[in-house]
Amino acid sequence: MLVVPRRASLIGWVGSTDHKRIGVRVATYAFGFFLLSGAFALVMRTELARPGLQVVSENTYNELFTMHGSGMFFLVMAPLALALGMYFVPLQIGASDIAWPRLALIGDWLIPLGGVTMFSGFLTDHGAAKAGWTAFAPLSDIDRSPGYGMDLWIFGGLLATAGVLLLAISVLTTIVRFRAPGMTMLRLPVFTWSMVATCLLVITSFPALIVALSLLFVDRHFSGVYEGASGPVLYQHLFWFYGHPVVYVIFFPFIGAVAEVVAVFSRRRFFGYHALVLSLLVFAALSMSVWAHHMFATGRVTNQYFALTSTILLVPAGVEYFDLIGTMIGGSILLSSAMLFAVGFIVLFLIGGLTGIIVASPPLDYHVHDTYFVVGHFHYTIFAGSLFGFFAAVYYWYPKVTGRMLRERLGKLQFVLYFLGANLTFFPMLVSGYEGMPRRVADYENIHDLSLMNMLSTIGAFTIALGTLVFLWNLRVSSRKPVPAGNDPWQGHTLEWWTTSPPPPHNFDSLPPVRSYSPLYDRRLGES
Amino acid sequence: MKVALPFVAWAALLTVLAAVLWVWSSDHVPPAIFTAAASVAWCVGLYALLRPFPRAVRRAPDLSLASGLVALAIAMLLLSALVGEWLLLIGGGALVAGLVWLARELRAERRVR
Repeated sequence: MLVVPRRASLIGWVGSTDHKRIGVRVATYAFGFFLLSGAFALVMRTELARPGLQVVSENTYNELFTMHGSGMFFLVMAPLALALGMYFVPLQIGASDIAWPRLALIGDWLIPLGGVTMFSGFLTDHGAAKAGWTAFAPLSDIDRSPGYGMDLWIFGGLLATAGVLLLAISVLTTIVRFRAPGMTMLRLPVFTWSMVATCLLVITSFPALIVALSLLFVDRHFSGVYEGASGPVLYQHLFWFYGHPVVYVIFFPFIGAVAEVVAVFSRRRFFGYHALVLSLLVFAALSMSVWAHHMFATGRVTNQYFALTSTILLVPAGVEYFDLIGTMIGGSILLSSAMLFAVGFIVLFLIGGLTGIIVASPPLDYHVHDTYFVVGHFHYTIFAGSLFGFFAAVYYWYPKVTGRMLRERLGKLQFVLYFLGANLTFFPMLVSGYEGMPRRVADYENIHDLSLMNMLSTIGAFTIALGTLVFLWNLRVSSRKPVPAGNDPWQGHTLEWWTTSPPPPHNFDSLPPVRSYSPLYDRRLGES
Repeated sequence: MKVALPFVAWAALLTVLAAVLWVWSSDHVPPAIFTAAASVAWCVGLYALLRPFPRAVRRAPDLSLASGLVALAIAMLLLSALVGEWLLLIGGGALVAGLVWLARELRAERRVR
């Protein structure tokens, strides 16, 4: 490995092929898009606090929910998931760098370029895209969505999706080829295994979105690809073949991170490692086969098959939950901020998963389809689930990335605000959706206490915003008054804690022997 | 072989699920999409099976502005469909320049080995 001194210049920052810099860059601008898309959510919640139109027009509201959802999926959660993998997978497997660093760098650049392209729709005559993050045909065709905003959305989606795809190819190849001596596949850390599942899903499902969006552009400007009775169904098949696996792309890395956190802060080796690895692979394969449960209401899909596969998903999910809880049982649990977010992830994702059973069952799905119940369900999985997992990872790995500690008190305050805020926002959505409130509306009738439910959701959304401000304050305090972290502040189990904080460009000066999936835990056990 | 096993097993699982859908579904589009994805999974498995481990000493670039230029060129080429021919020409030029620059980087990297 050729070691070249780091450059502090801007060119050195934006052009670096160091996997750690790529990971930090992707995470940084994904977090920027999170703040922007989150601000859109606050405007929407302010509008929905009371019936009637008070803050924005219906047209602007349509743009806001479209760009909020698109931003969160294309530019925030999927890039964040891959950013974690890009940074930590080489460190966990004892590699000095990544495979195909230039490919990863191109991917790294494509994501923000996609984001800028997508959001630049606001500057065009007809405004940004307003066909929802799913852009269903024919709502997204040239007659119903005229103007450049929709086209910019398509190109932004294409660029960002291609970017994530390239990052996944690089991470997966690194796992296949660059493992340290002794690091066999069955000694890969849990987080790395979760990235294997994630990358497999990205590589096999994201091309479907690239095809869907390319054809959508052709449909809008050249010929009616999605015309006729079967056209919109074809689009939905292609879109959901990406759209459902992407939920797991933004779930697996965070359950992997949560598993690491749970093991380290329970002071135990991870329980049921082999079962977890198997369940991750089965979970990933099954999650590729459930996409059309989003399409039950079209009446054009094989309900039995998709309902069955969607229900079977419970089995690997149950195994993972069993392993997480099994690790905690009998452990000496330390309730740090990271551990609190991990437990929050386990609890809140469970609510998301259980409400998923309802939408996986055709007769129940017919009742709640396109209502706020669905919005509540997927926000429980994505925000209340995956984002809690992300913050567990942030509090756990921030000392490794920066060499500084985040403040625990501020972390716990953020957790309390997030936990209260998430439940206050999303649980009333389940109730209002069950009562029949449709999604994607700026106004609603005040029946069945919908006004109360919406007011609660709005208060919850601002509580979450307050929690985000606490996190930003925590970053600032950590930067202004740094508390050195040392190499291994948590007594971690995996190889990233062996090297310095932050790690050197070549990652490791030496490596300990690898005899299991938790080599540093083994070493500590041997010493004691 | 051991490295490839999980990837091959995963591809096989996708193939089985796709096969069941072929039997169950009267519409050919869903199983066709699923089969295409399973084929990609087989390619990943094959890569894991055939690809040798890298040499112990590798040369890796510290900087690659050429990669950034290629990404920028791809974005420009895509956007030229909306903006016009002038961006197509700039994007095309940038792509060629980026690829040439990348080739020079790779050649220099090989020379150091």
